Amino acid sequence: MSLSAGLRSVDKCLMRAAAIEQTGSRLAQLEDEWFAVCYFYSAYHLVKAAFIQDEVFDSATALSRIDPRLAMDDRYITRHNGRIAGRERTLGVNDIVKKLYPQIAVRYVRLHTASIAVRYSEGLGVIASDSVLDDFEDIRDSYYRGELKA
Amino acid sequence: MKPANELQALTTSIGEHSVDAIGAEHLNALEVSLDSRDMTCQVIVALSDNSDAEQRRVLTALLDVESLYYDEAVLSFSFVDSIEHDSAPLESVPQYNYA
Repeated sequence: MSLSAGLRSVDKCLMRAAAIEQTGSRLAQLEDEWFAVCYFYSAYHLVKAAFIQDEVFDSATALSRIDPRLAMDDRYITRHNGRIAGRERTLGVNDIVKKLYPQIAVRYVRLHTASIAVRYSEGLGVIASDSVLDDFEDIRDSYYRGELKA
Repeated sequence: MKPANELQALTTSIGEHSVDAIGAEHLNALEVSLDSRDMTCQVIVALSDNSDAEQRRVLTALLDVESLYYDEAVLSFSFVDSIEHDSAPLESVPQYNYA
């Protein structure tokens, strides 16, 4: 499990999410596609806030009913993707989103894909800017409606 | 680490399941490459229709494929316009290509 440098409180996660969203909005107004990176990381901090708040992480039994790979300390996990360790897979934020909040999983994965495309590849390409915005707003609104609970 | 033939078989299996799950008629091309050092697997998809709804349908299908190989490989996905092979594939990286 990777716990390095992650924010450990809901308030800090939400403040960071809001600040990064503001930067993303300014970049979007400039038609700079790095807005997609900001919106992904804003969404990342929102789901991290949801993990910290989610009572499912208070109970190893409740977690194991969802997936035996889930651990109580995963509420503070920081890395995006899981890893294969020996014959077992450890989980990342993306995996936990898929397992606990499947209603936003596809949008979260596409937002991550968009962020990677901007950072490491040739840009958003075939992912429309409107899709990035819709994915982000759906995740953000789901969080603030209190829907991100296992 | 698994033998090379098993890694190639895994890569081919992930690729074939991905094509089936998406539907070949919706694909211009698809490439799967597996990094055997950490068992991360990149699935690159070139769709004939890159609408918002189609991308979400395809990602839903690919997340189902991911669940089939959950303890064998860590899948990640990308959407592209077309798949170009600028350089020869590395022998140490098993690949699957659909075009």
